[in-house]
Amino acid sequence: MSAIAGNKAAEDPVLQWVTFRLENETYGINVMQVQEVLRYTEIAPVPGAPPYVLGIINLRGNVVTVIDTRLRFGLPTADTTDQTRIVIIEAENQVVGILVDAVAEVVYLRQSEIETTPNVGNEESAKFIQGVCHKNDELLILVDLEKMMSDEEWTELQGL
Amino acid sequence: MAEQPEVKSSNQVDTVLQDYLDQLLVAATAMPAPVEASVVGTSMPVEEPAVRSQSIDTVKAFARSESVTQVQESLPQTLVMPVPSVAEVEQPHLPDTVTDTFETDQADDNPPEIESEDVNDLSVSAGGGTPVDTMTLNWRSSQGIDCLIFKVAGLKLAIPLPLLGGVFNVTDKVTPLFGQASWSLGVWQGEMGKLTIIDSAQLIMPERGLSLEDTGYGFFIQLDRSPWALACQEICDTVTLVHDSIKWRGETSKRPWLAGTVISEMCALIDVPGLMQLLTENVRPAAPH
Repeated sequence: MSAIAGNKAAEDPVLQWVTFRLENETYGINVMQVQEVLRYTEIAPVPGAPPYVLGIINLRGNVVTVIDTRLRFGLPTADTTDQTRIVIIEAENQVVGILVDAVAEVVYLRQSEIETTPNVGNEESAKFIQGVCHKNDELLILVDLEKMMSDEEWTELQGL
Repeated sequence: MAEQPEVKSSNQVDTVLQDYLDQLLVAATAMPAPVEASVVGTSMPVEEPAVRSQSIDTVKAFARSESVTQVQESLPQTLVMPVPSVAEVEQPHLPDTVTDTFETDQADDNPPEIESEDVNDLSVSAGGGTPVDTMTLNWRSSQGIDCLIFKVAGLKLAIPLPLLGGVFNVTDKVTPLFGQASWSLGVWQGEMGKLTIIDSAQLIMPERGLSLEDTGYGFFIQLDRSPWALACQEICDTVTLVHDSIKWRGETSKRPWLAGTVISEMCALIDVPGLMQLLTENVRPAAPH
């Protein structure tokens, strides 16, 4: 019995997702890529940086580049609030921060619960969407952080 | 040589039809402002049915979900939820030239076949690509085909009931996905699964610059068994249409979603397979991980 249960778990693993809010929608990123969540702190702009880079912050002596997630997703800009957070993530062997409206919770999703939707995207940002999942009476949009930036952009970030 | 004038004549008819549809779209979109979504969602105009056919009643027995039942209660009496079934589609007389055969998930044992002159035949539709798996209809049947008429930004559209997956009242919000085409409103979680909601105004008449996101919408019209649904503002009526009551679109039509126009109803008949193919062709392939 336990062997069968083990096989089932292997076939349909439970994944943890950190959810955050942007423009009244809830997004999820793989918990394994999240290092920590920071309250909003002053972000120092970097002259000559690409538009999607808000600037850099000092994280315990390390410089971390912060990405403008709204701009990256093609969403309108918004002011920061008490709920604004910087989520420190690791993707493509780099540590970067993404600015979000708020961090919500950690949810457990079975792989089978994640559905793909017809992607009728006409913008590059559409490829960031890994899938959607109905959880807690709302649709969760799951984001593939690796695809949030092209290889050239990841390299460009490394050089900042 | 002798056929040359006929070709020209056929092209002229197509051009006239195209002009007629253009006028229809212009006239329709110049109508009074569409109803607000909140209003549409709570009240429905109850009209006497133009035609009430027996086949509609038989469809009632196939109503398949709670949400569908809820919608039925709020819709005019003539509006019922069709579930495509082989029984609804009369087998067309086998033509001499059968161009293709499509199978449905329900009709594996006895798939309907397409008449070569059927405008819903994908061979008539523009473009190549993978044919959409769907039913075909026998428009030449003496009983005709029941169609549901609904309104989008003042334009009346008709969809054949056998190709109607369901009508859903907008209860929960549509979740927009970033980076999508302007005619995609987002994803909606229905009781039967997720549907990608199409901004019908943006897709059908983009030149008007109208968006249902601004004007509101009250219902979703699911296309056959597909994951696609058209947003609309008003459900009007059901009518029975026969082949001769429809001005079928010409082969040179640039509107693959259009099967033809129905002058008596002043509405455009949707080519469901053509529309689904148009949507499918716009889906981006998944990027490699």
